[in-house]
Amino acid sequence: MTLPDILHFALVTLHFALLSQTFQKTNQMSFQIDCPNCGCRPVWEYHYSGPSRKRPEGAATERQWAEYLYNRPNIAGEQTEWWYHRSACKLWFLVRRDTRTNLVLETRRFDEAVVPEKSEGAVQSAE
Amino acid sequence: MIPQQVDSKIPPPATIEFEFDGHRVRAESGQSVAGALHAAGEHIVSRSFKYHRPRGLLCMSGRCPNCICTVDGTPNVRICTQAAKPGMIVKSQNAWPSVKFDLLRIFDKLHHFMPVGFYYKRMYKPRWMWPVWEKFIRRIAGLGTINREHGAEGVYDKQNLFTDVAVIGGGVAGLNAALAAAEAGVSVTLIDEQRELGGHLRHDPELAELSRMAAPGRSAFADSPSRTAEGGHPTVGDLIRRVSEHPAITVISSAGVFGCYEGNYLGIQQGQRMIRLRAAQVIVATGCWERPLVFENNDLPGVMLASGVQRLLHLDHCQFPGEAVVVTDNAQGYRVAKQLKAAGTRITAIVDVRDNPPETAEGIPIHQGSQLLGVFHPADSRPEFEGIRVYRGHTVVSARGTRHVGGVVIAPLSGHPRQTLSCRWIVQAVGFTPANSLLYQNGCKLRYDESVDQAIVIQHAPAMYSAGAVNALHDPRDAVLDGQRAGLAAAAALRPQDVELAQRIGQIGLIGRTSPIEREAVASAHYVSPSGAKKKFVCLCEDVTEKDICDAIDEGYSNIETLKRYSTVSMGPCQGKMCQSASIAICARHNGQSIAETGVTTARPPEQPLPLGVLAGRALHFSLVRRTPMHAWHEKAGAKMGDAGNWKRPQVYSSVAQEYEAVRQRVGVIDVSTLGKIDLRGADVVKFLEFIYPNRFANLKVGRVRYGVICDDAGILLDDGTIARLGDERFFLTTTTGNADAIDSWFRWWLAGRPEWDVRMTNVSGSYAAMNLAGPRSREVLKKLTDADLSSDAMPYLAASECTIAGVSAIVLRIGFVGELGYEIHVPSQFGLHVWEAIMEAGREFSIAPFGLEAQRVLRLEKKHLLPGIDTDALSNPLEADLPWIVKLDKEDFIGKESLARAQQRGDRNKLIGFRLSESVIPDLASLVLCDGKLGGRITSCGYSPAVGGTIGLAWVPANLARNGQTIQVQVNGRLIPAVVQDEPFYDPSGSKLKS
Repeated sequence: MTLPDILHFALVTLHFALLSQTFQKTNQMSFQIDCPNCGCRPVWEYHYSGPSRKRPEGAATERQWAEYLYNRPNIAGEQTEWWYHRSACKLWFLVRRDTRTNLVLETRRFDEAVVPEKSEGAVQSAE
Repeated sequence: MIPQQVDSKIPPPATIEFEFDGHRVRAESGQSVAGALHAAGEHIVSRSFKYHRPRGLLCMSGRCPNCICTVDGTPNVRICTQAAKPGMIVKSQNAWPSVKFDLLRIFDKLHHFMPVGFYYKRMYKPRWMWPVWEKFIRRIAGLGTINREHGAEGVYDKQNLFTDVAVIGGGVAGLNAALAAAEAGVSVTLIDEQRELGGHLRHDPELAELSRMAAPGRSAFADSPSRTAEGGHPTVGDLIRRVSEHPAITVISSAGVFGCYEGNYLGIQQGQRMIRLRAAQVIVATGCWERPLVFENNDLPGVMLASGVQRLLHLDHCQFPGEAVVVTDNAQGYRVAKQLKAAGTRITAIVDVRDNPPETAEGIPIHQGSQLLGVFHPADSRPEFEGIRVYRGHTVVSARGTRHVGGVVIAPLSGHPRQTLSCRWIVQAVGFTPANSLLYQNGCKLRYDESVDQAIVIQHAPAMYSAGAVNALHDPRDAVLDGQRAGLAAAAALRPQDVELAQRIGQIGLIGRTSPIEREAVASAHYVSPSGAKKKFVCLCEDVTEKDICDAIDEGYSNIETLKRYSTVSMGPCQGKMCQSASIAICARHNGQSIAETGVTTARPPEQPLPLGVLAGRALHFSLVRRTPMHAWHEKAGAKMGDAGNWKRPQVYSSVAQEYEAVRQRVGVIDVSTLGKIDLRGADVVKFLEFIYPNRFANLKVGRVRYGVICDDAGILLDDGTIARLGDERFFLTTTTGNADAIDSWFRWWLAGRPEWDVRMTNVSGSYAAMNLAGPRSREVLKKLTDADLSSDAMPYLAASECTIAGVSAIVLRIGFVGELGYEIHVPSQFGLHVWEAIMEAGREFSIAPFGLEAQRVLRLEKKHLLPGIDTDALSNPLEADLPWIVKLDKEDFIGKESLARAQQRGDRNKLIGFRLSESVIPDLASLVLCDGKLGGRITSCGYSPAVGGTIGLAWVPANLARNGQTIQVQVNGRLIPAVVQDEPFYDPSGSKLKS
């Protein structure tokens, strides 16, 4: 490989990296979510913040913390997750969604929740 | 809008002129460019992709690749759907020197050297030859040339729309669906890709007549006022007029739906505009594309699809001089023969692929569905069929001719005996491929049904319907009812309470085929023509022949998906619209499988090729610009503005040195309205702050302010800011400009999970304007504007107070980001400019100067104040970022406690330090710090410090180098320059100026 080749390769790689970043920011998905405040709105008004999980409490082990901080469950199927109506009412709420089809099965405020992972349980990934 | 009937009186058309490859062509107004070329006898309009064979008009519907030209500088325009305009400049593509005489035709003779995948097989050895080949291939490959200097003319734009029901396709089914849904009271958007509505009925008057014969008693409109006076269904013209005039129907014509995304979100291209349409319900009534037949030389100019011929006859008023042979397996062929004959063409023969066309004693009934159009007998003496001979059980084997069809070889399906007929036109009417890719895209399940020779929907995606020919209902009478049924069903889904709607759907009942499909196992039957030496094209876009496909299968690419990728069949501009049926049928035959077993390739957007400009077009309204209340003042003062997130902020007014001097010697003021500001009230605010921040807040007294940082649970520093306690249960805190929204959402998130906490949070970022008045004389300036006691006893360093400044109630924080006596003044934003001007006026006697971000950066750097996100990154914790005093691990649980405790146990690995460079160069940001010749760290901030008289900065270095007085090596332009680590701030280390 000559120097121009290497530069070209680097440029293409960089371009691709930037491009994929751009795509992440734009709306690849087009489904709609029923905000408990605002009703049915397109997904790009919202911010996704990962599945609802229980934050380790009290005498949690190092392993439990590592699991909580650095691993994501990556479920193929139904999961309850946090969404934030970023572009409108700024409400954080829970969405039950099928990750395979993006079918939104249920949306609710946290205090309407009857799920076992109560109060302290939920956490946001540090993005 | 009303389709032109073949026998209707046309007013004498005005003629216009345009240019094709340098010579002038006359066209009637309203005629397509392709139609005008046909009328002018220009039958070679393009050259094929690989072999540079002459190509002429085929489908006339904007589907096939044959008529692609450059129009007014825009490459790859299909001239068959482009209306001719005066002065238009049309140029043929992919030919040298000209489309009539193309030297690259030589490739046609070299096909032995260019089998399928030849570039993989022939051009990789020897390896050094590849760059040579590559240059050559790049030069001749591709379609059209983009004008790199000017690009395409015009503006690409975007539009967002929504509707209750979107109907895709303006044919007979789509029109009826739209009208039925609209009459049921929902809003409808009808999208059609042609210039006028009507679909096939526009160019087939007999079908149009037939569409009125649908069972009138079952019509959705039986009881509605739109019923026609004479009963039965309206004429096509009436139907189109009613759709166009209906207040609830929006028609988007000349527009193609290129994608159907989840949530029924449609991507539509209309010229240079992308329309994004959100529909509650979608009805796909996209109809069918006529398919070509595979025989030798089937790409010669003069070989056309029957519907293409009809379009030229009835829409462009063209004629077909000379003789024509029609090859068919259905009633369409007979209808076209009749229409051609009426237009003056001599029909040499009808070649009917069927051994046994449905027949009566008198001859062959020509019918559409159960409607008998007439009975045709070889010896028929009626004028419309006089002299036409029918060959049953025959097919076309080969087309004769070099630049245009001169004859046709026909033979029985067995292959022999062959006979040659002389003709100028070969018209193919051998069935249809359903336009169902939008259904596949949105997740409908389809299954190939042999009895109708097409894939049928067996399960619709939610809120999606199909109607008409995509449901294999080719008879317009069936399509009318099917369209109405789909329209009513879509409306009923939106109005579940409406009982009458349900009744009307029941009234229509089940839609069976009025007549069975007459064709028998057509798809495979057509492609048994004996193998010959000449090319039989399957894919006209990429010049893939039947032999290429068979070779690829023999080489192991037998799956339809791998076959597509290897042979490139269906990967050209038509995206399989012309070649899908044939490639699947050949693949099935060669593998010894059924069509259903062979399957189809995955349908993905875009369904039609799109200009990139349509996707990239402007979306100005999405880029928000925020300006502070003092923005106009800054501009007037000559500030150089810069972006800080969405904000515009002054970078520098006069010069950094002058502004620096003003702050250090006298007094300066900076607009900090962009800071995030949050008002917190409630009984549990202290508890909340103790949990959010690693700092302690329980002991923060009313009227005091404290610096704090926010970490996440991994102990990573996210942001910093000040927290002021204005009351027992009332706090006012600031965040950095860039993180204002993120911290807002971070707080809200933690609060969302704790509904039992009494914390009321208000984001007041935009409600307050803020300015930082700093410098030794700032107290004197502020004193002139307030009655409040500003003495150090009453308002010491880190005091927070609410007082009146220039007549406006303000929150004043005595903090010193820049290291001088200073006041951060927050006032309601509508008074921002007033207070700012009052400060400037009061400060005039002290030679006050506004200062910008650049001066502030130098000032804070001298105090070693870090900027989160610039001096820290996703691995920085406050312990290592030189803020260990902030972290109070003896507190109860707070965010990041576990990780920070662990980090403290482990000890620092890297450390943020201040350094002083031994030379006066200013290194670039992210310059490397080397230790023992190896990469050790990097610089995050640096600049010239007037206080030090040299270059200072902040850098991350390994913890063992983070000692006061330690020398580190900084790489600047490949040179190593020593620098000295300094623990103390570079300016006023004791903080006496700050506290004065």
